[in-house]
Amino acid sequence: MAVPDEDRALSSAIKAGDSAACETFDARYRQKIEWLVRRRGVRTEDCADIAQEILAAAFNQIQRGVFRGDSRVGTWLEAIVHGKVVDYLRSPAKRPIPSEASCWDHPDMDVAAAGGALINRPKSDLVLTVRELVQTLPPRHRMILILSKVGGYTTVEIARRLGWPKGTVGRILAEAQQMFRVMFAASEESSSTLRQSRCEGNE
Amino acid sequence: MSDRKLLTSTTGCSSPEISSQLSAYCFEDVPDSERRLFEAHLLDCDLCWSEVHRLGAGVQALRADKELLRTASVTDVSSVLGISAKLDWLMGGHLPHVLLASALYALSCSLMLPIEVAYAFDRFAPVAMKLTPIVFLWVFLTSALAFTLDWKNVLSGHGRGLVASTTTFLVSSAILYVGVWKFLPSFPVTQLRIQAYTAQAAYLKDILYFLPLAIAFMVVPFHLVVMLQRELQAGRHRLTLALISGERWAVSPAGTFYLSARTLWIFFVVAVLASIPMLAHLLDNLVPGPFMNLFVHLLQIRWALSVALGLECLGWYSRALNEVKRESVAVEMSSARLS
Repeated sequence: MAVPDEDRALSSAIKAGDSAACETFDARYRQKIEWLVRRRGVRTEDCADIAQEILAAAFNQIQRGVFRGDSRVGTWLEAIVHGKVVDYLRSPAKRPIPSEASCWDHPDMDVAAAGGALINRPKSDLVLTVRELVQTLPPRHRMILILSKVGGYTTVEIARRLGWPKGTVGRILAEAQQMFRVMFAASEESSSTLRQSRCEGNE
Repeated sequence: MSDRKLLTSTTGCSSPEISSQLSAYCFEDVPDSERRLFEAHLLDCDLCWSEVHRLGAGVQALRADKELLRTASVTDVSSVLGISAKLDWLMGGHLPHVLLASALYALSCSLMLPIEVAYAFDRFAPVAMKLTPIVFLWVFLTSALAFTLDWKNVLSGHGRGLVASTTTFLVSSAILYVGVWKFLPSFPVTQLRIQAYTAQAAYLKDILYFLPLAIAFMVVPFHLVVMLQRELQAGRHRLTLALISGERWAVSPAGTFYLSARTLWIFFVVAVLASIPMLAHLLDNLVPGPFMNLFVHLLQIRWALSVALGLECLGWYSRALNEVKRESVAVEMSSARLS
């Protein structure tokens, strides 16, 4: 995969000690790294520290010339993230965050404290939107998606229960997920347009 | 938005092969190795990053909403458990029937050749032994092809399935006759007290007897059943139920003939009853010969195969129509309760 010139220029500038380049790199990746480590099981309160360690390691590697620009920054950075998260999870004092905790940030998510962990709960608007979208899926796609993602059944279990081939269930599930994604994106766009026009109206 | 459009839409990302994993990633359906690859891509791609964020919240809302488990309607359940759900399976979910009916029909057809030359089996045995398996394979494959064409046509929404499958049977029989014709003698082989057909003419007569039966018992019912499956998928349960129940106002889907199971059963019984005196008449007029025993045995085996083919087709047809009816009744009753 070709490495963009922009990435090469940025890493060269960091290597040359350009502080503005360091800030640009930090601004571009810090939030993503924090999100990624949280998704990989790091406790919310530790995410900022781990992200800081990862960024420090990244700067260090660039300055030592370890990152030569042979791969994309994402590929190289992900390897550092992976190593740091593995180290973190191996530490006996650390435990993965409870399963109900979420890493999804969304304007329609309420953040609440539960059992010592921060969890995001969907607001009623989002729940209603999702319900409406699910209802507009074709019946078979709707049923398979609900059984799999809400009921928690595996593809094999659904296939066995329905007497269907496993491949058919997998295909319909993949189609349902893709349909949900596109419809959700469309509904988000229309609701943000609506919000924007309301704001303009109030002004 | 059409389903096809929904399935092909992407983020506009520069690595579409990786971004195609986006839905699966948000639904946590990607294996570990691919997940790492995708997350590396997320670090590089802001388009996919924001899309993952947006969709992730929706997916979490979906996963958390246990109420959805209670919203499944009878239509939903029948759409995954009923016969309509099987339309996009191989042969519309009727693969065993297609294979069995094609095999029985091919066996019946392949026996025509040895029957027509059985009286002089010492002379024609090499040709008959060589051609019979070829005929079987030809008829079996073309019959399966006819079913496939019909199913594919119905699946793609075209109304030409019946024409395609009937034409396939007709063309297959014509090619079969032309192919076998030059190997058959142009004089009567079977010794009868009455005027006998030449072997070539007798073979043509056999084909002409079998072809209408194949179309009536194999082609037309199969086409109707897959079309009804499509009607149910389209939500036309009331019309389907009315058609099967014999309501006067009901019309069959475009490009189909509705033959009730009872009509076909009557047709079958009449055909079997008619074949008995015809067979007896033939046997009464046979001139005894060294291969008469072989001829009579082959004749009876073919008769039994034809009856088995009819019974198989009718059994399958009755069961399939019952399943169509069951699904229609379930959905109609639930709609009536709701209204």
